[in-house]
Amino acid sequence: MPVIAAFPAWAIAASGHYLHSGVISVSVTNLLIVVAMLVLFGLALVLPFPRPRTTVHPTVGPTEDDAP
Amino acid sequence: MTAVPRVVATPDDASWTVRLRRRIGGLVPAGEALPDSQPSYVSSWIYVFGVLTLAALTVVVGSGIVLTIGGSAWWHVSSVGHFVNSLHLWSVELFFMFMVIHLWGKFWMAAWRGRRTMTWVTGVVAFVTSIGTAFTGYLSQSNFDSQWIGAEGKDGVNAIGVGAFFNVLNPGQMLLWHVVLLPLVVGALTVIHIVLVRRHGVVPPIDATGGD
Repeated sequence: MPVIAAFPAWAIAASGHYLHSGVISVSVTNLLIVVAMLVLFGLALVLPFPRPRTTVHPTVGPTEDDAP
Repeated sequence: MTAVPRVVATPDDASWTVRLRRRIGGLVPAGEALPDSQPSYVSSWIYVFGVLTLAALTVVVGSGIVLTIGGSAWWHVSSVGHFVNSLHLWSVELFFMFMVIHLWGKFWMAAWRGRRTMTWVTGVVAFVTSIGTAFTGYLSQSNFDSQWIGAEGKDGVNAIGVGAFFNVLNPGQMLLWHVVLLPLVVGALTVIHIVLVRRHGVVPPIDATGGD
């Protein structure tokens, strides 16, 4: 009997779905989390940030360490 | 009420407390420990993920302290224990998610510029140490999952030669690494990382000028 047949159907279903490509194997859950993180990263770069309520201090900026 | 005269150390014979106070006071420039303004380029969502990581770490530590008080028999059987256990797990998930996005952002803006090498290095080491802390956490669940992870991980840990003093099949040792040693290291690295950020300032975008 194949090993996998020894497991009940619910146990196989609960073990998750995996995607394989060569040496790479990733669960669908983890892949979705990685995609969500990439989307969050992209949104953080393009979404406008709320404007500050206070005035901007013109003297606050890159430090002298940042001089080229 | 009469005033009590105080003996004040002169600069020449300053005591160790004075020297330590000066050292602590000089860690960050005046007003930068808890600043109330930031450069305009910080007005971007990508700069939020560092403090989000810190907020998640606070919840991780807080829920971990509650789990430590209750113990495994409590978090396995009571509904409140289940909740705190889940709170600990999901705050760790968010901690790593925020930290990795923070890492991506800092990598692509070359955040080690402007004498910020140690800021970058302490962040990387804190990230690696956090992975070890999470690993020992999975080994400390005291369930079949932790047994399976220990059995699967032992050969890899032994292969790198640390199995003699880091035995993943010893739940007591892994629990103590998880709740004492590794949190101390992660906490210390986090404090040093934040002090360095406040000392050198938030890294500007690559094309930022002095007027930004």
